[in-house]
Amino acid sequence: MTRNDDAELLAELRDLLEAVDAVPEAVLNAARGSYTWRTIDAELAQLAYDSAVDFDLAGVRSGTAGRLITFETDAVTIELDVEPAQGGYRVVGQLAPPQEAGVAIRHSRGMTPVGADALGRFSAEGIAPGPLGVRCELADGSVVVTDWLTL
Amino acid sequence: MATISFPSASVNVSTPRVASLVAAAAKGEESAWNALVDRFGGLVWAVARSHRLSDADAADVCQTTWLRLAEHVSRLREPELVGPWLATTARREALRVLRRASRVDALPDDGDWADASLPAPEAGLVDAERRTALWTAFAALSERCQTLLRALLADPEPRYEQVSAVLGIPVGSIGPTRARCLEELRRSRDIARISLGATDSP
Repeated sequence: MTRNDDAELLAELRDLLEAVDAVPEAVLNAARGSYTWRTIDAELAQLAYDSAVDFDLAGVRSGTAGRLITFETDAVTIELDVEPAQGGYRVVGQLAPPQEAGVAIRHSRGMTPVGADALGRFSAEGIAPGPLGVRCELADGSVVVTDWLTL
Repeated sequence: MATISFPSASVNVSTPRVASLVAAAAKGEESAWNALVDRFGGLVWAVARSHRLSDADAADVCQTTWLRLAEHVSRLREPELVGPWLATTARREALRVLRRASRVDALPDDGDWADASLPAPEAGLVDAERRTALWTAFAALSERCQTLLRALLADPEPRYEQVSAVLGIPVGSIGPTRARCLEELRRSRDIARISLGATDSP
């Protein structure tokens, strides 16, 4: 087949995909709105472990009822235990090393402030599925935000 | 009919522009961010849908991907490669959504995107049948071919690295794979046309 035939077929397919499965305007609007979530001067905690997709050392995906998610910076680790519940997910968190901190769960509908106690524990209920992140303001004033992931 | 750009392995003219959009967005220029969304919004959606995600799941994957970029836009090591970065991120999130345990709502979510929204009949009956034949043929392609073709078509100037990132295949394989996929698509479409009675003969 000639390059022209290919180009013509691709053009026809492109028109068809545009007609039946174009990116919805609502999705583009959400993408535009995502910009307001960016933080300046915060340290970014990378996703280190997600039991939903990662395998543990034994090569078996975690069998716990909850989903374990871990984010890390050099200074602090943020662990989440996420369980489905009535009205949304229940998120139970732990900071390591244990410390009091201003914690907020970031999700598509906004931010839910929860606060970590002296042992670094925090929890939230009714978190909607979709994008999820955590923001921590530590005692020294520094801010850590986790990478987003899809709950 | 607008021309289709075949992916270019060499640096194309728009590369500096993409890098400068990233730099501007990193500095706080919302218009630059919106330009990135305009340019790559279709690609991120196409990657999500290539994994046969439902509308809702695909929307979540897209939003997570763009939220991640918002945080990383000032941290990208190679700003000109934001397209492949977005494609890779969307692919990882799509795989995460596919693999995770069932969601809170636990409603059946078969994401049957291929069955939904066949194009409405247009000017003539023949047109509708031709489009249906092409859609049927596309939906019957391997997931690999569907992903490749969507990735090529979702960006006005696709870079090989983006397509490579979406598929996890080396850049050098893209050309031959594309040719094979198009041949398969053409063959399937021709068969579908015959069975639908939508051949070229009057």
